[in-house]
Amino acid sequence: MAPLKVCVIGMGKMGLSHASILSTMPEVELVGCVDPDPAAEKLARSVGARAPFFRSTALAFERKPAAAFLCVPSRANLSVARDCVARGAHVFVEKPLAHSLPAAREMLALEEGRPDLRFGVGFMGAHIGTFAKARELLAAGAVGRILRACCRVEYGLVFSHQEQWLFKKDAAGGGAAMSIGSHAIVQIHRLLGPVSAVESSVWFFTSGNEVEDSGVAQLRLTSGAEVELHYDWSAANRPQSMVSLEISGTAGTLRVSMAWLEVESAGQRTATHVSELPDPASVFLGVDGHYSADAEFVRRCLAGGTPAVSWADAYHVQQVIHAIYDSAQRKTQVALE
Amino acid sequence: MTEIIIDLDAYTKPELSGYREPPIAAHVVRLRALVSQLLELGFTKFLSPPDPRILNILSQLRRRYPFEVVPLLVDAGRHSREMQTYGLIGFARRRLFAAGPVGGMRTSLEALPRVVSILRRDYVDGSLFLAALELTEFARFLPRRALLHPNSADLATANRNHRLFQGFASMLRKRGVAPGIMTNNAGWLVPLLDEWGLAMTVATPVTASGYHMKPTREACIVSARHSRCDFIAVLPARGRIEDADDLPASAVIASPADAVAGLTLLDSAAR
Repeated sequence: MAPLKVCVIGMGKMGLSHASILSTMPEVELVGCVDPDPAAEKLARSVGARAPFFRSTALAFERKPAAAFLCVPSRANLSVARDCVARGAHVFVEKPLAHSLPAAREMLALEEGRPDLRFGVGFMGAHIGTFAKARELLAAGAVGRILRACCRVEYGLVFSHQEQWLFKKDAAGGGAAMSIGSHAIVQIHRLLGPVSAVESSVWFFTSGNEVEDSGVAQLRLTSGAEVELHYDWSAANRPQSMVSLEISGTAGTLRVSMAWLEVESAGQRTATHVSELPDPASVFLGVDGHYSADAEFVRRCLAGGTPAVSWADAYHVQQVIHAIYDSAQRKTQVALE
Repeated sequence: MTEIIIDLDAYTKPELSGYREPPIAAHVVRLRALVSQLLELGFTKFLSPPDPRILNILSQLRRRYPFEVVPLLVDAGRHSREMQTYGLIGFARRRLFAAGPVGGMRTSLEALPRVVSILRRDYVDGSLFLAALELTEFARFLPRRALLHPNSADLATANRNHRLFQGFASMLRKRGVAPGIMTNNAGWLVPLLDEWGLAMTVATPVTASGYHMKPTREACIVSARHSRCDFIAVLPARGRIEDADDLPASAVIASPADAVAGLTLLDSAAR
């Protein structure tokens, strides 16, 4: 089988990371990296990137990539994705799907209009062994009917005023809920089901930043279960973003984080470390699940099928984030569309 | 030669803590208890990042126990976060301050010929400057060898960045320190080192399940068998403290099965 021709658009930190991973895959030919900033090319070259660089997407598409990895500021996701789809390329977008709900809706419409193309999104948590196993166990009724859950995501990232696009409301669409909260919300969606209503508060700790640093939300699921969500990107002693859930059901409790999976049921407790679970990734770069998310998308492009996290899932996450901001502003419970 | 080394860097990360717990290194008392326990169990070699919390504890314990500290240098992920928080200038100031006036001055003077490249954010020159600065933080332990952090090594391996490995080895050798690399991708890296003629120590996690032995456990074993490099088995330190009131009894260091698997692999490689 001929390798999949891929380009990476946006060569910031995430673009560099995806380009590094893709360059290790024998089934991929990295035909181009795109960034208008010459400094991005210089940095990538010094890291060791060997793929050709282009200042625009149009130039990169002269190499006829079959798939594009979008690592641009969230606000640009829609326009770049539209351009790539128009050129007939499969699209993988770094999370979140978009900076706003209307933009996410348009992206979903893009996907629905092109059943011949594959659409992936960078929620790599779905590929971490502990969460994958937790999903299996919950589906098999390991803790019975789910009553409630508490989900936390914390990261020691923001302690001062920041200038990058990630901290500008216009470019990113939001703060901690959008950036790290989305990782938690996608896990809630995958493990526990869709959300039907949200009530939330958000907090700003860092002076001068336009976006929130932390918040808490009460999510009502369509199943009737309640989930308390805490997110905070100004958490001390958290060098990595860490998602954890404690799920209580009629027959027991399941606790899962990126490192551990614990089940308490019928008076028995079992704990499993992520290192004891299968990990099909053939390269490790930075964090578990990162390689597998890219590899799964490449596989879908070559052989068909829907990625583990579809754009429809990512759209639901976007709806929840939108409801979190809406509820915090209106100080009332908000029902999802 | 088979040796086992405890990775204290892992205790700065959430993986080793229990569900929703901050990393063990966040609690100085817990960390000191854990390291003391490791010493009493007979472990005498510790990989440590330039984390002042860990270095201070090691300094204090060194008065009572003889042990070796192996510096783990240039955590690309940590530096990227610090640059974001403090900006490039603030980040540089912090690193120079941590290195102390003598170490900071000496390292900066040595880096003068590459200053333009460093300021232009050349990844390799910047990383090597940081490695030299960080090494000075370990001066009190008189390190005989030092390892490149896996966050930097894995990125360089994916990009086949020969220049970083070569520069790192040469910078350390100039200072009389034996160079090594810690990696989660030993099966990829070791053949590359052989191809480039770089004989360095490779520290790799060794687990029965093959966790972080990429591309596969088998490939790591084969490459170790055929390589000129020395190997260090890094215990998959899954230790965590279940109950803060019951420290000595509940801190599990590593499963015996994994430790045995590590020794078996390295013995086979040595033969």
